[in-house]
Amino acid sequence: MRSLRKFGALFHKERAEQELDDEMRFHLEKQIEQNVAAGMSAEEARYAALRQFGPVEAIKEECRQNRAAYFAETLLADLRFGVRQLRRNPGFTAVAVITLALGIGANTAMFSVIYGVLLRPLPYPQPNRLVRLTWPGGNEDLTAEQFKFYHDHSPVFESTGAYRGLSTVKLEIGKSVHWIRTLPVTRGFFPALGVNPVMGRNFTPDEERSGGPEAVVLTHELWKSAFGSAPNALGRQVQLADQSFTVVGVLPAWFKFVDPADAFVPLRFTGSSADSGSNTSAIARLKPGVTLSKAHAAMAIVFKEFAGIYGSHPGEVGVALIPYQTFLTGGYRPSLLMLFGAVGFLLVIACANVASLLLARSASRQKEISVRLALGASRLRLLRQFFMESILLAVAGGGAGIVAAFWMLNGLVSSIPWDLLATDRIELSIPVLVFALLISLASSVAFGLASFFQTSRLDLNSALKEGWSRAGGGHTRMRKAIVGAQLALSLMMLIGAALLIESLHNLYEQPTGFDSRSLYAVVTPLERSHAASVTGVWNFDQAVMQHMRAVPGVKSAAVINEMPVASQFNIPVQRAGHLEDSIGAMQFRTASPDLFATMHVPLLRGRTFTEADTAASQPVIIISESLAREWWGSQNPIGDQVILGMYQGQSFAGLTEPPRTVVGVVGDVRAMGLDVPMQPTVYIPVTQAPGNLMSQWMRTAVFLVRAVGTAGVAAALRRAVADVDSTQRVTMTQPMTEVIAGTVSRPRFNSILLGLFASLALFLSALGLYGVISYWVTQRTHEIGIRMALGAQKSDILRMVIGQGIKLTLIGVTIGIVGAFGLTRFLSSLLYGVKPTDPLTFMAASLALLLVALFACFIPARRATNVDPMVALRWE
Amino acid sequence: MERSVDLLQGTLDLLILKTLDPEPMHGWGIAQRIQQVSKDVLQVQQGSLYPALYRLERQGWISSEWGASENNRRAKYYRLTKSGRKQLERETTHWQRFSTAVADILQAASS
Repeated sequence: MRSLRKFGALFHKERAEQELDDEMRFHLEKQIEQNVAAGMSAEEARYAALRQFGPVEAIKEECRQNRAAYFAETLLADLRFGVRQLRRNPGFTAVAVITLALGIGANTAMFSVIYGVLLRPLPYPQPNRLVRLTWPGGNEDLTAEQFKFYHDHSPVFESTGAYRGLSTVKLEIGKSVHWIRTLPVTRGFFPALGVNPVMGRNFTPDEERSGGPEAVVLTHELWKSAFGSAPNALGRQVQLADQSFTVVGVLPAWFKFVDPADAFVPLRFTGSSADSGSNTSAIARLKPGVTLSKAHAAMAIVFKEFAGIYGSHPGEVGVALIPYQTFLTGGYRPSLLMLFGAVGFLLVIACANVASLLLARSASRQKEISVRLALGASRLRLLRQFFMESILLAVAGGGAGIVAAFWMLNGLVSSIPWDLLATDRIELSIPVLVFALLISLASSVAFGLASFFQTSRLDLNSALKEGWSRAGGGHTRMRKAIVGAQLALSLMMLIGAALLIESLHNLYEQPTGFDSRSLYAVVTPLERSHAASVTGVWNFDQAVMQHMRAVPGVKSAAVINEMPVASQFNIPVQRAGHLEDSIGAMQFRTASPDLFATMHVPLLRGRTFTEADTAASQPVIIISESLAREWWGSQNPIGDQVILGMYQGQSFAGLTEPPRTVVGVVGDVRAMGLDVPMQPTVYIPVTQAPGNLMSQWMRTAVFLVRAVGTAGVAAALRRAVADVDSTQRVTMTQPMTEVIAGTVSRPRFNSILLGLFASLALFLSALGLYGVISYWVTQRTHEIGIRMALGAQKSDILRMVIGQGIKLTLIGVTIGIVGAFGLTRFLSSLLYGVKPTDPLTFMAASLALLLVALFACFIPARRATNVDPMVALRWE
Repeated sequence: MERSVDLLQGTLDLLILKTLDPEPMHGWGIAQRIQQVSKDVLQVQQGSLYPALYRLERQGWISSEWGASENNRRAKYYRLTKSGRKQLERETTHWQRFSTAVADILQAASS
């Protein structure tokens, strides 16, 4: 009831005012009456009554304050006043809102990503029970043997599933053809992730058996796009990579896996070379109530049993269980957090700019404020008004920021160089909007506080007497402190960006071992018709290379099984007769005779392959320089022998290979990733490739072509493949330089974004510095005039003003360097070839900041030199 | 004027409530009544009276309505509410205990 009355009073404010007036007037009239009765004249009586009554307006104000609706009423008034103030200064308002929108927008966009991929639980039921099983001694994946043993013997898992890599295959439904990505998975895969087919069923044990019936489970999307959501899709016979499969299930629409598969096929353990290597990725769902540490303890025992039966390899220390989300996000977590920190800095700098602007404005309003204080306005009320203005600014900035975030987010998500589980989970969701609101309010408090200190320190008398020009000393100090802090933060960001850019540069500078300029790569996943036999592959390769050589501008063409720098394939290899000379993960390549000539890889000893190296001739091998050094030292390896698929005398991967004679030594070529050291590599002729490796692994041909005169070459190379077989797909045609650039997309993403944020920060800080120095000059126009009248030269004035700015900048630089020393170590996992505290980088970044600061000060300094002494002296 | 005393903090509220107890009154009347009854010892300043009236009204102890004054002019009349009457009782008791205590101390000190 009372609140209702209060609400009503708000709308009847004018009536209330009127009543207050009437009441006061009534009182006065009564007093006059009394005075007249006491014998005064009418004039006297009125005058005396007013004196007796006291300060009418102040009393009325006190009455208003005691009225029920006072708070709400004045809030509205403040709001209106704030809007009016902001509209009266459109320039100031626009700059403040844009600055805030930038800061809030960048933070909101970045937080959307952080929330979508790091904070939000995975889109599976009870995702906290999901773990990834890894092999800490080797790489992340398990061997088939390990997986099967853990699957059968672990007491802590509700279900365990395995999967292998994606492959792109041809799906034929009757006459229609689709290229889709399939992922081989075990039956346990779906229950481990907590998903059931919405139609049909999971795979059966029979379908997992080698030689069992072929079955495929579709994603909802593929069911929709390729089968038109037809319910009778179940049971349909389709051709998958030229083999007949039965559609047995369709997954729910929400289901997504980190590898973007369109369909799932059974993963069969047949004792192949893929099974014996560590190629099997394993996930598991913990039983309810089982903690991670309990599961670890249990798995340590299971591993001991396993080692007791199968033996263990040196370096094997058991099984590691990693929470699945941690596993998925481990690769990009440091980058995202680093960038989030950077946009946080950016927001602080943006807020500081707005605070500085507000301070400058409140300084010019000081006289107005003093007058209002003298007339009886309470400081609290004034403060509330300033905060109202700040909140209005923040709300406007926040709104614009959310719009900006919407834009930025699109660009950000499409340029993220990591496989994310589901990019559609990165959106401006409710928690993100709440975050945007919170940071908007926090920023309004931040710059509202600046006004607070300003007003609470205001000395009424001196402000009224002296005018604002001299009373502004305190506010200038505060603005200087703000600008110093801005410069310090900017420098920290600049140093971080410089370190990342230097790392990127270092990566680019890494020798690849070949000449990537004017080299093109054409990737073709081989159709079954070509990949059926080694002869088939080689015939296709030769035909394509022949067509490629006919393309104008092409100097030479070659073929290899893996893309240099960007992908790798390894098998165990041993030096014949030397058990100790064994490498488990030797880089292995098949090559056409002119590969080294085409890539410009130097031949150091012996010969390259020739047309005479055929399936029927002597088995030969070419080794890389680093392998020659590692196994033969200073001796000549030519004529010595190595065995593929052999490790410490044990044969692996079902390979029974004759020893191969080393015929040549070539320079090292980077295998995978510019940041990975050169790895020992062996090459064999395509014609001599082991048949079972070929059918399982080497289903892709990478053609490398050296060509001059680049216009249209890429398209012509694509056509060359089509000329040989029009059904053969080409997945990629790219200059090799772009392929290499693609391998550093992550460090490039980091450095571009941080560089962008740092530049923005630098720009905003320079604006802040410019503002303070300009103000300083305006304040001292009088003083400058006197100096010039007394004979100071323009250069003296220039030096004086710039000196002010540089002093401030140097303080900022000092703080920034100290801060960067503390912070850059968090970057160390993102750096390559440069220390987090690299003194040269620190110096270069500081110098850059100084230069920008100098420029920012130069403009007001120039203006100062143009002061006309006569005008300046008359000023005020 | 020398005879008037400053009002103790909080006593003005009590005096207003007590003055309004018999009948509704306007602000001028309240001030006059307090002055008369106290034989000009207590003088209420307008600057304290009206804010106090607004405060008491917000607390719900008095209510106001516009009516005709003695010579038929519009005036704002204040009336004691039910909760105001209870408050008056509470404050009266409180005041009596307080003044007795002060008197006791003054007597003890002078003997």
